[in-house]
Amino acid sequence: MRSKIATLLSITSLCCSIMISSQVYAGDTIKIGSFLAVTGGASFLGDPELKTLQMYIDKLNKEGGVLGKKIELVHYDTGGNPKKAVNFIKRLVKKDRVDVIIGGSTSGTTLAVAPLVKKFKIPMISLAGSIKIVEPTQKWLFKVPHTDRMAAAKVFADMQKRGFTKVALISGSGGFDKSGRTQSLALASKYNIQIVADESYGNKDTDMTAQLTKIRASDAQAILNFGFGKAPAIVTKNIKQLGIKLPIYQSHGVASKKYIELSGDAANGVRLPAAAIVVANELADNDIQKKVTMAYKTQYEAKYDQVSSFGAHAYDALMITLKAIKQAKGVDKKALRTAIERTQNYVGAGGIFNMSADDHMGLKEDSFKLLEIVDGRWQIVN
Amino acid sequence: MSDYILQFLISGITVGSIYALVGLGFTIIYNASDVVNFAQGEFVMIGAMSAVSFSIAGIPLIIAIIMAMMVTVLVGFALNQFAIKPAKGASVVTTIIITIGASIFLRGAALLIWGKDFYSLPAFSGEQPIHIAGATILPQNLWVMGISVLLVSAVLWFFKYTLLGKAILACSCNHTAAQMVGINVGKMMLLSYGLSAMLGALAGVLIVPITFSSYDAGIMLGLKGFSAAILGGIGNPIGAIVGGLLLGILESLGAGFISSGYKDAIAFAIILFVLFVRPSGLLGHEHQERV
Amino acid sequence: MSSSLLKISNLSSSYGPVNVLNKLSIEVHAGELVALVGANGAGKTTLLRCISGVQKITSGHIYFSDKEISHLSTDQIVSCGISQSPEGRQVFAPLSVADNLLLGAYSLRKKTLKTKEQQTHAIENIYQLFPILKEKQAHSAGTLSGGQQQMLAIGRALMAQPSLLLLDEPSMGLAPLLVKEIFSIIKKLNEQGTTVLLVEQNAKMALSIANRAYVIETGQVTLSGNADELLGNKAIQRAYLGHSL
Ligand SMILES: Nc1ncnc2c1ncn2[C@@H]1O[C@H](COP(=O)(O)OP(=O)(O)O)[C@@H](O)[C@H]1O
Ligand SMILES: [Mg+2]
Repeated sequence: MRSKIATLLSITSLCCSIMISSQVYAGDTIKIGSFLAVTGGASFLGDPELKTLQMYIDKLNKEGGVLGKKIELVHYDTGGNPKKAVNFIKRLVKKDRVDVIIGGSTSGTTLAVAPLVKKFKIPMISLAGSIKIVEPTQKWLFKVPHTDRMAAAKVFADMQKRGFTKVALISGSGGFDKSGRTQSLALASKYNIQIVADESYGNKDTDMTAQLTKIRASDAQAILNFGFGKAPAIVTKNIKQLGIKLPIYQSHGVASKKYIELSGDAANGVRLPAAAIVVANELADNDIQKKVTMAYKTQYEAKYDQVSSFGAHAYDALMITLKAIKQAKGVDKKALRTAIERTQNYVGAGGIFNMSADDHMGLKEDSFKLLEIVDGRWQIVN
Repeated sequence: MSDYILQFLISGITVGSIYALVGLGFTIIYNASDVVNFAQGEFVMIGAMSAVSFSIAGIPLIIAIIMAMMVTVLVGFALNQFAIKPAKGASVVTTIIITIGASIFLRGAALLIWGKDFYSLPAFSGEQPIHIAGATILPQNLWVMGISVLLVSAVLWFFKYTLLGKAILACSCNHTAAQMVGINVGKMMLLSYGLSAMLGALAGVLIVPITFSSYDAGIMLGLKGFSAAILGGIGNPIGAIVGGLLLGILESLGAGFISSGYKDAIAFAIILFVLFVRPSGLLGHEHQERV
Repeated sequence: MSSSLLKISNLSSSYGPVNVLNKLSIEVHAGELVALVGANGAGKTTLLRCISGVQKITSGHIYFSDKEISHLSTDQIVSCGISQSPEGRQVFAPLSVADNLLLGAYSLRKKTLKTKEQQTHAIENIYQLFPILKEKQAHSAGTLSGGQQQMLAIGRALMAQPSLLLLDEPSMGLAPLLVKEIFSIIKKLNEQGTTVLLVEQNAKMALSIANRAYVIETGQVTLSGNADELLGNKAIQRAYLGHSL
């Protein structure tokens, strides 16, 4: 009996000493927590995001770290599941004691943890698109990607320029798609545009001709598709199949070479808003983002496959965090938060960031480029 | 309105043909071994993905397709040898769990090989739409329908007119009796897994230019093929075909006339209704004689 | 040994822990009609299943034409020339009568029944034996009456052109008139040269057509001898013949 108690005691003290030592260790490093959708349906977001974070943190540590301290990345894979995200936030804050959080990949996971972020008073920069993350502004919550509203605005502005007043909308079933649809419906009238058809499809659907047949029968002058993954490519091909000659607009959700590859010839003439990183090569040499996008693209593609705007968001979030840490001269959470909020004129891969107390994203609409696919290649529309 | 319907039917029949082929794959394995093979969708995915890979490697399309079929058939053989056969005599539920496990394994392997990207093949004969009576159809839709008809006829012919086909059927009605007339039941199992894998691979190759494929594309197709087989009456090859076409058309009409969001729900509601009225499916035997 | 077509020595077999056959030995000579009688549950079916290779044996030997066959697979055993009409008929219910017969010759598909003509001819021979099957040839086997299914099962076994025919309870569940008919056909087959091992609970009928017989109880041979002698045996009469015909 006595020996049992002794063993228990020694185990407990061992645990304590491990915890203490890890805390001491924590003092020597800056801990960045992260929860991304590296697997599952949204893995195309989380995968390049995590790769980017790891790659740049490794690079930084080799160069000596920040403020003389090494950076440690503590990451958990949510698989896109909001419930998991909530658990991971608790673990990141309470157990891993991270100083700042980057993530999550999706709007769902981000919004699910927002109340906890507020409660724990820890600065977090989200990599998700929804406008709800920063509107209304929440004290500890930031985001770097463009919003779907900005994408819709960019598209509608171009439609207005081309004189279209009647537009057919088709969108997918995911959070991104639905939010994009809502923003498009809300924004259209501002550009004198009437939405004459509002169709939807499941993101795993393999045929959208039924919905497009209805659009064909409407008096739309252009079609806007809000979606990502393979579905927009199927929409594009189906439009061609049905012999619909209307101009096609897509969202920034398809700004990848894969979309062109899957759509083939049908992609020619399609217009879409996209971050500069997608067209880094095509940017004019005097473009303010040319340097940063080319640098990121070269770094990333030397190690992995094609860059995406998603990885670029992680890049921007990390850079903003590091700048803020230097600004705050440490990782005091309050000071760090204030420093992030004061980000000014940061030229990132996604645009030029000017944050403020009312704007926790800091991007303007012009940080999107409008692209047209010509002969299977991106071309910037001026 | 009528050109609406025609357009919906074209989509429905195209997708339905694929469901039918997948359903037929379910039926063949079920008939030979009483196993509901939930890795059937993975056969479709593997067929499509390997055809894409071979084609990207510069191999002419037709040879790439044949090689993809061979790869998939080998996977089918392996599934039988390493997953199903060792569990001989296991309950239906156990074998279902085994095939689900196998499907997860195959998806994982596909993820390692091909990553998470989507892939496509060029359409077999161009993408110039053909206009008929206000509706349009792609040459690839015709390929899907035409080859499906050929495949289905070949399978039906195989089971009705060849000794080998009849021997597989005999295994399904009575293992012991089949053994007693000198049929090597193990060989027939292997054969039916290979046949079913080949059908799956062809379905994948036919549809990939239209719907694209990724490592997880088999889940949905497997589920739809299974629904087709259940709807038509599991074990009945003609039932699987009727079930597949019906499911495809229902989905297409549902998406067209009601809402795409509900199209799966509509299709499943109808399946449930059919099974409620006729538990053995549309063309299933009322009393299945199984020993 | 050389004169016996089938020789079984010290055969044991079990379902799980339960031993069903216990060091059983029997012999069948070429040209004989041997009956195997015994009460329900004695192990007769198990014995036939062991011979056909669908039931695992735990020890002992089975020789066919002086060749050990106990480790062969069922399809190999059929190819050696042993075919069986199993207990309960076990026809392929959804398949047609003609297809059932055709499948019966599966083991000969690369040998004597390769061509369509050969197959048709063999099936015609069965139809001569059982004319009713010809009438029903296009019907699915499941729709036949019990007696017709029994004829089909025997016909299917005959299609393999066996040198040893195993029959498991061919009279089970049949009307007396039909039983007589089936037994006279078995007798005829034997006279035409097929060696037959006949398992029956209907001991009197079986003994009346057999040359020799074995009586089995709980997996062991308790009596054996010429069929006529056994038919006259008082003990047998009391035990097995009392409630038969
Ligand atoms: N599949 C089985 N599993 C377990 N026990 C069995 C099985 N089949 C038969 N038996 C048992 O084996 C014994 C012999 O059965 P069987 O060979 O069918 O006898 P018979 O044909 O002489 O009536 C019986 O006690 C029976 O209960
Ligand atoms: Mg018996």
